[in-house]
Amino acid sequence: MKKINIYILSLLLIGPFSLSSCEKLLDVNEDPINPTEATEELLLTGIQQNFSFEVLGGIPARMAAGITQQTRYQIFQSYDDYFITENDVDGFWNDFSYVGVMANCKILSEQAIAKNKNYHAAIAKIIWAQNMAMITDAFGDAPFSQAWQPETYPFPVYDTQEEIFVGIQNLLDEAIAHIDDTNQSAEVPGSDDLVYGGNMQKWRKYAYGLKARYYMRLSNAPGYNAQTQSQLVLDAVAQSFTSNDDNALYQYSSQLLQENPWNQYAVNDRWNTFTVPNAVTYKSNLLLVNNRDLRLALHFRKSDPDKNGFILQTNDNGTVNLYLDPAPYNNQSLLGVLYADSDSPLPWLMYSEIKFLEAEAHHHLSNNSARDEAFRGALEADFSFIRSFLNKIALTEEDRSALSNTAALDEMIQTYIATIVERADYTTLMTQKYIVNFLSFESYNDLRRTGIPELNTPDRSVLKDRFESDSIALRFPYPSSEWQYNPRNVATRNVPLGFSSMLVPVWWDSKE
Amino acid sequence: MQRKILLSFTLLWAMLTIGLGSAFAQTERTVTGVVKDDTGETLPSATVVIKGTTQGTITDFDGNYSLVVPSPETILVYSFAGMPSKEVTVGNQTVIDVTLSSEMLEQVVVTSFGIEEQKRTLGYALQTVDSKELTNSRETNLVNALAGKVAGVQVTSSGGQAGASSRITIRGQNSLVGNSQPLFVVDGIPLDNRQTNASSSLNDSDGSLLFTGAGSNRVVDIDPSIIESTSVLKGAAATAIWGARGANGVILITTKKGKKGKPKFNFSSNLILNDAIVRGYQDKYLQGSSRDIFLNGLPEGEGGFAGKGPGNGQQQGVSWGPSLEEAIQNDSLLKYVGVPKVYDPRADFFRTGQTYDNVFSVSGGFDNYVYRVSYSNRMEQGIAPGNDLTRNNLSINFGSQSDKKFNFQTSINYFNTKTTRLAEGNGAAAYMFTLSRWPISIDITDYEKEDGSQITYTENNVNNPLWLAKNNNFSSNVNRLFVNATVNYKVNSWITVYNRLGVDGYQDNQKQKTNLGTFGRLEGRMFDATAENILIDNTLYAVIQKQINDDFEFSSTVGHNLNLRNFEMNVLRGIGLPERDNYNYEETQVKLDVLPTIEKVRSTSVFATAKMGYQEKIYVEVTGRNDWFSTLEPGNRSVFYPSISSNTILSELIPALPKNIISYWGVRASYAQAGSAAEPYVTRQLFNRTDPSDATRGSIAVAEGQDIIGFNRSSRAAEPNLTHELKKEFEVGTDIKLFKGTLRADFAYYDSRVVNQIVPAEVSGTTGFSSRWINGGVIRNRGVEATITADVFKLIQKKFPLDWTISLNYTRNRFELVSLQEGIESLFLGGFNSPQIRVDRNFGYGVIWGSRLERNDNGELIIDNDGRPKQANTLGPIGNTMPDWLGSIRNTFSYKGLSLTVFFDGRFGGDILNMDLLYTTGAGTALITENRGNVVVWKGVKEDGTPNDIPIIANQRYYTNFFSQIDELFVEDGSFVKLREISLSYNLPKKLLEKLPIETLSFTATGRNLYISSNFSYFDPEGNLYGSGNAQGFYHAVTPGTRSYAFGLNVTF
Repeated sequence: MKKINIYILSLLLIGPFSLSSCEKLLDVNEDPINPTEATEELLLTGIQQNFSFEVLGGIPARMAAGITQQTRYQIFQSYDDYFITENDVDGFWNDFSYVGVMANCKILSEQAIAKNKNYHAAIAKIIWAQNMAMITDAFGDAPFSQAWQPETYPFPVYDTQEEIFVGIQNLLDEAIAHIDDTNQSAEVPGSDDLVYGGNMQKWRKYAYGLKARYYMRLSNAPGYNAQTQSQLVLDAVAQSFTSNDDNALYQYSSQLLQENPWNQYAVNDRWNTFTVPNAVTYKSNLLLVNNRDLRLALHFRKSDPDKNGFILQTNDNGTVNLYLDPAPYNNQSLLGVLYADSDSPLPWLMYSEIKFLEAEAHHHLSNNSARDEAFRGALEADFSFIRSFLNKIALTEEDRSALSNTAALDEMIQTYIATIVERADYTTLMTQKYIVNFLSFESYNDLRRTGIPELNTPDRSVLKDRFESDSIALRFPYPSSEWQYNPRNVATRNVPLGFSSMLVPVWWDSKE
Repeated sequence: MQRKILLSFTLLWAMLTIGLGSAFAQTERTVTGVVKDDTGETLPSATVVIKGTTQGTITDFDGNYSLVVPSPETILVYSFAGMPSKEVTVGNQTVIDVTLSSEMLEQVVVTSFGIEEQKRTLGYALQTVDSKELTNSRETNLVNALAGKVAGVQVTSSGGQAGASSRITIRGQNSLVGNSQPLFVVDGIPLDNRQTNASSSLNDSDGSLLFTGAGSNRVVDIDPSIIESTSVLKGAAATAIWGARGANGVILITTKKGKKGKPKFNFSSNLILNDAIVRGYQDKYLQGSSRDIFLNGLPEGEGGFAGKGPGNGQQQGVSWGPSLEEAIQNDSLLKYVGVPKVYDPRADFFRTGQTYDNVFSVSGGFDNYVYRVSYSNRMEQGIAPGNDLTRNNLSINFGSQSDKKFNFQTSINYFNTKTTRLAEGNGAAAYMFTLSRWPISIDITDYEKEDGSQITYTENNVNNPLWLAKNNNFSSNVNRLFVNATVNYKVNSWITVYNRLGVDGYQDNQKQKTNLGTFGRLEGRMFDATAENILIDNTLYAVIQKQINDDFEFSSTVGHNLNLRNFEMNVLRGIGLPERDNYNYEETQVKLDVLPTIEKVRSTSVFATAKMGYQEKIYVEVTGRNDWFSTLEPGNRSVFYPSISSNTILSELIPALPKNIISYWGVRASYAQAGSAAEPYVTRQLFNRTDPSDATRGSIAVAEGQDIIGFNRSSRAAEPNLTHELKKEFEVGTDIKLFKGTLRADFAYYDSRVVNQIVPAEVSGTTGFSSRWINGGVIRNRGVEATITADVFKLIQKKFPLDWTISLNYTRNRFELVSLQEGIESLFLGGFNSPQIRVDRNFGYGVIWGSRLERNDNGELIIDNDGRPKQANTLGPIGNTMPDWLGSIRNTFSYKGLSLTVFFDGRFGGDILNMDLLYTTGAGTALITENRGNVVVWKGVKEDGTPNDIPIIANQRYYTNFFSQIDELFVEDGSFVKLREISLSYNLPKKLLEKLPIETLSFTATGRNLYISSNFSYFDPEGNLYGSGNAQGFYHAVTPGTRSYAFGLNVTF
């Protein structure tokens, strides 16, 4: 009997032990690696990292550059042929924007306001506004007022583009109010702000810059007129950037895996090197004036680094002129050093664009001299910015000596600017903006809004092939995730699924 | 509440066991009887043994016996050569006459917890695979060895690399995106079968299976030679007692144990040769030009022989050049180069794989103890150079077999598996991705410069597969200990209490080596990762077996289970090697700060079963199990699963049935619930470190020591109220044995529904999440399984010396997605943005979704003015990877010592998305592009509705700009019939061996996949980049299947 009890006791030892401490035993469902909350500083950094790499330097920019024929994909059909499916845009809409950036902007702004960290809230709202604008510019109507509330609105309805732009201006106004709010926690953005390092006055200018951009966006929208919008633009511009020092740039690095997104995408062979600057369309637009546009050497990468890119020409009167040799910048060229070196900064918003907005506003208001002055300012800002990248070009000995002639370089730039500004009609103005905004999503918006520059229909255009249309892609197709997971609401927009959607203009582009 | 129940349960049990344990008394008596066979003949020299002892007797010439038994609880075991033994509990009887039948009427099978039960008492489907069937296939992976052998089971091999993973599912897909593979249980202890792949914790392009391929599933560690028998528990009723983990079925493995007697030594040795199955490439056209440069390195007019392609950049170092015949008519070519050489790059790449497999074992017993020790070694060289596997298994079994109250059984298994595999999938570093597009005019074997760097034939920098094989690989070294200790205490003749403790622990050291100069990863990369998995499982249970009276027998199991699982993975990731072949992490340029993965999962359970039998005619069993899961929040942790099953033996119940025709006929029915819990950490909202990446291959990574770290909310919403999934299954079946058991058939029909699916459902991103955990969706699997076995010649004439057994397995499963969460149309399983594999509300599981051709309402293609079919405006369903049915036929012929097995296995229906064909038609290496230059007239209608008559020339432009753009054109039928195994073995006659100290000696020759019938472009459609994952049918740059020849020797002395 005793023996039996010992056996049974030993057999039962483990059982009751685990039974009695059941609840405690099972309390292991806490992830030791991923936390359940994050500080405002960490969220801000995260938002900026994602927004820069995935949105501003990511798929929407690549698609826009293809559609505007700034870039070309060498082999199969691609964005430059408007070969954009509902799946291709899914990442931009879903993972990168609504989820990756904007949901976190909302979390950050709410979390920050609760702690009086208004500056953090301000930056969150600015980025939120900018990302939302890219969504509506690309897709038109989109969920906004019911977005980011999964419990209340698991299937958010679509707001009209007009409503969204009101919302965007509101977000920017709120951001400015946060910056001006004196009731501010001592914990302010610093090194967690990868763009301005916590300089809130620059963020204030940035917010006004965006306001100007989005006022101008509606210059031709139904129910709006260019003059009214232009006045709003000028008021905003007045509070925005005043020099290249205000430029918002996200700095990448030549360190492995810290490279600029364009560099990773199209230059350093991590993906492929089939996306190249469009030598036909873009180059011919660039080279408007006598091989004297310095930007060619920075937007294109020499196909043969041993070939000379610059020519110093001595004239009969003894003066010296600097010219570009366009030969090495051809259909073999990869994207240039200004945008696509590993350590190239990614522009978020540039002073030159603010000046272009100013010039365009003056144009609409028929203030020609103010227009020309702003136009000149825009070009000077751009050239002064790009000059600092000249040392990155693969230069031959001859190039180096040609460029060492600063006077000739100055002359080349100044003469070029003068020649351009001299014929400052609207087409020239907007074409220059198209060039200055190389690889920026804004080029696509301006192209649709103004029709400038005029582009030839690509041979392999999907729209031509399928629908015999010479149109460019007027929007991005709504993403497959919406057709799958929010089908009723997306269907209310009367935009078909598939390629034909790209023939439907967005609201601000729909005025007859 | 639940604690109270537990407590009272424990108390009750303790009282019961202790009380009953002291209640019996011993009474000796003598039992006599006659042993006969089923024809009524008496059996001389039959043995009668007291179960659990060596005491017993032998029947005399007339089959009579007499034996002294210690107590009424004694069980006597009657056996006679060639017949299954029979057990009888003595009870109050003093005369016991026994009839042994020569047929397999009394099949004893192993059910849950290793309990042996007569199959006739079971109300659910259970199929066994014997050890010979497993080992004869000579497969490395036990999962592959099961292919085609069990009705209701689908096995899908992921490709031909040594150590490749394989997927197994029973009765369809039970979970939409979660695990649907069955639980492997070895001697009562669950065995981890996860696909460990350190890449999954990486945030760069090597972190996606799409670009690296899958690793091994961990069942690969087990050498099939240690397995005595395998029971496949298919339905929920069979597995209900396993609770959540058994919801997808259970593969119950019993290992070989020692037998009492003199030590027996066994040695078996096998050599297996593998050949790659390569088909589907054109061998006529040479490489084309790229841009302005001709790729034989010479300018035009000086030996450059390719014609310029239409438009810029059309010919990118791919096989769109001239044919050899055309090239040699080019004078300048002949002048400068001579006749171009033509190669067979695929043949030049692959080698004959060689595998050596040796197993040595010794087993025996002394006193009351039995032992078995086995050691096996398998060395496998894959068909791709650089791919190999070495596996060592040491198994020690030791246990007691006595009539004493206390017995024990222990086993210690040490497994070591080393694999080196090549990357598979999409991208520059996957060898098959470039090998499939390699032009026939380039010598693939000329790949290396003197300094070890790579020779490339094209300016677009295509990696040479042989260089990749030499310089790049993923390796894994698994050390695994699987320990099992069971003690049992026989409380009385009808209650035995067991405690079984098992530990399954392994450490997997994985390394990536990507050498300097690998295109796409020029700077070189490495990782050094350690995955540690520990599973501790303890089950305490009592088995009660009691003959209540002459009519009723009762058996029951009650118990408690505790299961603890810890998984941890740590990765050291370095980018940028200091120099060629130097993979020292410390010296790499960038050391990435990869976060570890830690998973802790626990569950605790109580369970009970009760089975009642009436006159060996009707059996009814009820079971219940309650699980508590750590992965759910406290209020939702507890789940109860009941089951009821019954088997009615009509052949006994209806005396009118002619016994000489119907020897046995049972009809069974069951209903059961089972379910499963969530993955860890899904009930609380998490924040993750920001990892910007762009869905192509660029990414920003955070390097070690860098302080710029951001966080964002996880894109997947947690669900605090998550509750378990519930599977409800109804099953009916019948088991019939005709003509004295020479014709046997088993049919089953099941209908199961899984409700409350735990799904990371995709949601509109506008909610702020990409997906959220939900309990939603209902899936239904219905199916039929049939096995038919006939001993053909026994049927005709019992004494005919040739035995021919033919067995058929038939499996048909219908999957239906009954509902998904409101508003959700589909779920992503794998693939690219397009094409992809998904679950779709309207089109079911495993739908291939991608670009397709436009059709009118009659389903006819619309042909444009150029003669090309128009591409549809939208993406859509273009195929389904789920097969219609599976079937196999196994024939075994034996004549004296000679035995021949011919085993055909087939899959019918089920599409494959052949991504390789997409890329090779673009590149011009695919066989179908051999018609280049020919005129094609597509069947369809023109835009005006009239039948198409517009011809189009199938040239490069046609293939690259049209054909290879349409995913639909690369969906192929995955049906196949394979001669999976043909095996001839010869057992030397005993007479010859008499003078040698050898007991048995046999030779075996086996051929695998010697015949394949399929419409698949590459012949063998068994391949999947996702390995054993849920996305199946995704054929993309995986290692092709193999044909193999094995020769073996087995000797016992």
